[in-house]
Order: sequence, then structure tokens, then C-alpha cells
Amino acid sequence: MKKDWVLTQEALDGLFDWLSQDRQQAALEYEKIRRRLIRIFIGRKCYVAEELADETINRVTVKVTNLTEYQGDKALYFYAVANNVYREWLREPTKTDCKPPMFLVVNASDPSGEQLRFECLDRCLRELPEDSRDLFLEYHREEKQAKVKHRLRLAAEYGIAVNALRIRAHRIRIQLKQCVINCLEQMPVH
Amino acid sequence: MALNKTDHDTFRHYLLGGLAGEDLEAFEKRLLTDDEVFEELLAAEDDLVDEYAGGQLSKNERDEFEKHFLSTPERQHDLDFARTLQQFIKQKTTQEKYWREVPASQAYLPRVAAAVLIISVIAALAYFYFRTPLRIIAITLAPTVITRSEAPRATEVNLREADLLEVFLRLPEGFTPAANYRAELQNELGKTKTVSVTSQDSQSVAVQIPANELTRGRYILKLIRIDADGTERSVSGSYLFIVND
Repeated sequence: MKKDWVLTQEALDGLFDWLSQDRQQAALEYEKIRRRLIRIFIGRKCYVAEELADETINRVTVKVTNLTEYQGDKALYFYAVANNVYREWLREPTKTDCKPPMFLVVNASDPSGEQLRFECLDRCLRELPEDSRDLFLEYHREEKQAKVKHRLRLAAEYGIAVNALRIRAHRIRIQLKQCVINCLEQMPVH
Repeated sequence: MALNKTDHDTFRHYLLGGLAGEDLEAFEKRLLTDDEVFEELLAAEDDLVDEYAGGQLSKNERDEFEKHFLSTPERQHDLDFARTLQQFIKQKTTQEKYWREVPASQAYLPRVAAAVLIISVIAALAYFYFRTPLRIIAITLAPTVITRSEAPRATEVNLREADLLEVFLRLPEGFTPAANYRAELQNELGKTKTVSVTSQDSQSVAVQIPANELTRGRYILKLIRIDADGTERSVSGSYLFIVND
């Protein structure tokens, strides 16, 4: 792999031109593909998912001048390159990051960390618009079988399909997670 | 393309490392090219993490979750968030149960986590000391940690003859006193307002609430500490009381 190759502005421009004639659309497409490549590498248990996604993009960028005649979904071209990147990475003798950890402590908890997260979540929920907060809290209210019926009822109340409700809750959750991260970073360290 | 139950099952298999070969490739390609599938996958991740945090996965699923899903620091953070969220929801739900169902009780509970009931009438003292007709009723409350397994006990107070309710909020054991405090009062309707903090020491914080601002019903006082650098944090526990009249 060409570890010494750097993505220049000129090269990035070339990639964007290949993705779309509209520069804004191209930027959106780039971000979308990058995000999904990261998710795919995470799904393959790679700790360095971002690095592998960037390597994939770099390689496609290098080839872009030869891809003017390419037909088909461009995202799938990235996928093919990603597979090569993944296979090469697994073959590296010193590589361990793509293998599952031998031991993972999943139940360890830091009581002071939990309390800080709780306080930050409380604060972040208050900062949400009221309708988003209500939807989010209602969505997570029940457990097990009661949860399924509750969400169906909630979706009906909002006049949307259950999967649309699920996605709305997910988007609010992303906001909250980032807010909690920002809040924790501002917390004083004792 | 509308998603069906098979798709949702596939999400679960994928997240638990159950897809391989051509199935995995087909699914990954859909992730790359189909916006709806990608967003649904992210929502399915949330559900799976919540189920794990809530202890709702089967043993096999739990093993697979720990082996496959929790393989990155990002997902560890997702799990931390899910646990915190569940704690928060449980406490909120139990607080609401308190509004609806908790019977009034005058029992004195010796446990640290229970509310301590001390009602003292100081109207005469207040008159002679302050030379004003102000009638103050004072109570002392200890912080209650509301849990699902146990209905919280609340202190009862009768304000019929009072002008002012003074509440001494006992600080939790081992608590490091703050530079300042502020207090919020929440009623049964969920309305919250700030109440005056009148004094503080290493053991308690006193707040005063005009009696004419309190109607019959249940209330929760939350205490917020303000450190010297201006940072605010909630003090653990809630202070519960019921106004009877």
C-alpha cells in the first residue's frame, strides 16, 4: 500500500468531479461513501476502520483519471477497492487491529464516570426541543414485548410508520450522544 | 425499497457477525448504495445496544454481541450511552409512578436513602424574633434515590396556617460542599421553577417557598451545586414532599 501518498486538493477535486458535476452534490456523495465504508470496516471488526476507509478513497482517487468511462454505481467501485484494502491489511504480519480482541471487559463500569454521564444526559435532554425530547423519551419508555406495542402506538400517534419513528429516534440519539461527549469534555476532572 | 421483517432479521444477523460470504457481500453493497437501508442499520444498532444493556439478549446473542459488536471503542461508547439512558428512563418512569401512585405515609424510615420527617411550628418564635407576623413551617428532607423496586416515601406537610415553607435539604453522606447552590421545584404537572436558597452549611441547604405558591399535591426538589468556576451539576437524589392543605 502507498502509505506515503497524500490526498492533495487537486486530487480531491478530481475525485469530486468524477462523483458529480455539482460540487456540493459531490461533497455529499463523498461523505456518504466515506461514512458507509467506515461502517463496513467496523462490521468487519476493524479498529482502524477510518484509516482503511481513507486508504480506500485514496486509491480510488489515484485511479479516477482512468475511470471516465466507468458505468454503474460509483459506490460499488469503492466497495471493490475496499475489499482489496481489507485483504491486504489482514495479510500484514504485524496487523492485529482487524482481529477481534482476545478479551473484552464489557461489564466494567466507572461509577464516577456513570454519574457524570447521567448529569450530562440530563442537561442535554433539557437542551433538546420539547417535541424531540418527548418523542425520544417516549420511544425508549417500555421494554421487551411492551416496547414493540408501545412503539406501534407511538408511531400511530405521530402518524408515521414505525421505521420512520425508529429513524427519528436514532437521529435524536446521535445529537444527544454528541452533546454528552461535549459535556463530558467540559466536566472538571477531580 | 420498503424494508420488511426479513430485512430487520438480516440487520440483526449482520450486527452479530452472522452474515458471511455472498450474503455479507450483498448486504454490504446495499449499505453502500441504499440510504434507507443504511439509516435503518444505524437505528437497528441502537436497538441492539439497548437490548444488551437491558439484559434482554439470549445467551448466544450476548456472546456474539460481546465478540463481534463490541469490537471497537466507538461501540463501547455506544454501550455506555445506552446504559446511562436506561438509568435515566428508569428514574424518570419511577418518578412518574411516584406522582400517580405513591400513598402518603407518616412512617419514619431509619434508612439513609429514605426521607426524614421533622415538622416544627416556629410561628411564635418567628414573631418575637423578627417582630413580623410571618408564620413559617420548617421541614428537613434527606435525599431519596428513586428506584423501580421500591416506592419512594415522601414527607407530608400541612400549610394551612403558614406563610412560608422552609425546607432544609440534607446533603448526601460524603458530599463535598459546593460554593453555591440553586434549587428547582417540580410539581405533579412537570412544571419546574427555581426557588430561593437562603442558607447553606456543610450538612444542608435551606430553601424557602411562599406557602401561597404551593397547592395540594406532590413535589420534588432538586438541588444543583455551583462550583467556584461556575460549573453546575445536579446533586444526587431527589427531595420529596407532599402538601396536604
